[in-house]
Amino acid sequence: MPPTRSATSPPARCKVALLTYGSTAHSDARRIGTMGGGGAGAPSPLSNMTDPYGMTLISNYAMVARRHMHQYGTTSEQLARIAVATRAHAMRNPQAVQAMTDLEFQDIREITVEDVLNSRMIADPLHLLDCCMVSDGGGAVVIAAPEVARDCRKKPVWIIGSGEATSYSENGSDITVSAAAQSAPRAWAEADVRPDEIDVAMIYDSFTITVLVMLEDLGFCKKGEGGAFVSEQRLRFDSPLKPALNTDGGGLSSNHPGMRGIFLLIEATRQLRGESTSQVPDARLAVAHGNGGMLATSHTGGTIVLARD
Amino acid sequence: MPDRPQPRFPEPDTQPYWEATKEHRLLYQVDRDSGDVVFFPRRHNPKNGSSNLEWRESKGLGTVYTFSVVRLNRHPAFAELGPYAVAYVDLDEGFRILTNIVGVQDPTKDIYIGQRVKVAWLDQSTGISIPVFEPA
Repeated sequence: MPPTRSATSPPARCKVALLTYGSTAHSDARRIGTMGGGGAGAPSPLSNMTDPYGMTLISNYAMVARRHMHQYGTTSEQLARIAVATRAHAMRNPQAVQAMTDLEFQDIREITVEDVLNSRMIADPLHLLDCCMVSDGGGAVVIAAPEVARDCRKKPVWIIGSGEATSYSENGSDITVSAAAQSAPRAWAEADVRPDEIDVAMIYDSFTITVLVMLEDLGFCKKGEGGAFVSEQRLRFDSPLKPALNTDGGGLSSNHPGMRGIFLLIEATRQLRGESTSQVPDARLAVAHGNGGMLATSHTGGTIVLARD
Repeated sequence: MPDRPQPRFPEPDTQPYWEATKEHRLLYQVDRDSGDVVFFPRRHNPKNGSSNLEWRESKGLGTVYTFSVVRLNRHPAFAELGPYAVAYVDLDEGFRILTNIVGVQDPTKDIYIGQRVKVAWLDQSTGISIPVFEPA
């Protein structure tokens, strides 16, 4: 699948690489978001300064949401629109419906903004439906040199730009800005495309706020304007306004085994091959952005821009 | 209710900080050369690698930078606590601490960004005391 055509790459000795991921987070009953307090592993300065306070992963992201609301007037209704759009995509994806069925979701249907706001609060201001699921899952991606990819049965999808960055919270830093603000410009520059040219945005939706912050940091809108941006009739695969968001249903409504990067690449590739269950007509360019770690503390961001022939 | 998770030692960077909490003293570090405020405690200034740091004592007054009220934590020490607030507080001396906001009637209504707060102490059976904050 996606080979690189970067002019700056050294001659590749590796012709084919396999990227895999799998996790049984649900079967193992791992409390990824709601088990704050740590106490495992070797002590570190960070763990010693955070373990006593009961900060769950969800509350860490929620603190970004609260600050974003304070600085920019962002509302819970605006965040909910992200969950509404991804659920609509999930309902079109039989595998996502199966996952929600297997996880015993109580009410498997399209949802409204009111549904999100009426779902129970987990860590203010994030409601249950602002949070991704915890499922099992796995995926694989083959990355091949162009001469190999040209010969494959499936149409190749090209990696035309990438960037990665790490971000640490510091005294006085603005926690509404993520590592994507550093990784994305590198990826856009290498790809020589602009965010407004992108048809499909696959963004790790651990929480609705994650998507909102990253739409801004990827450059789809200005910092602070994410709330207004998602309030327009966009994000859906059939909207005339680009980009479509998480057309497989995302971590919010299709699968999330603890990490999601591989699924971002897989759905972006499906879109560029015309194989998505929520196909964007004539999709030519996609971006996948993954986020790892704790958004309000230390985290990483990886941006990959993908194109079809 | 079981004890909260405690800081664990030996851990050289934060040990002096936690030792001082036994006397209800909130410490932070300053780079003697650059003047940078360093927190959480470390042996080096993360901005320039300098180890020429000194300890100072905070007055314990600050402002809520952001917060979240946790409704669901399956950790036994927090599971029965009821809603409680996790927050970042910006101390007047220029450092940001992860903490809890306590001493309010209803954490879902009585805490706001920009609120002035002061340090309070939760003494632990291990001898250390956990700095938390309450409305000033």
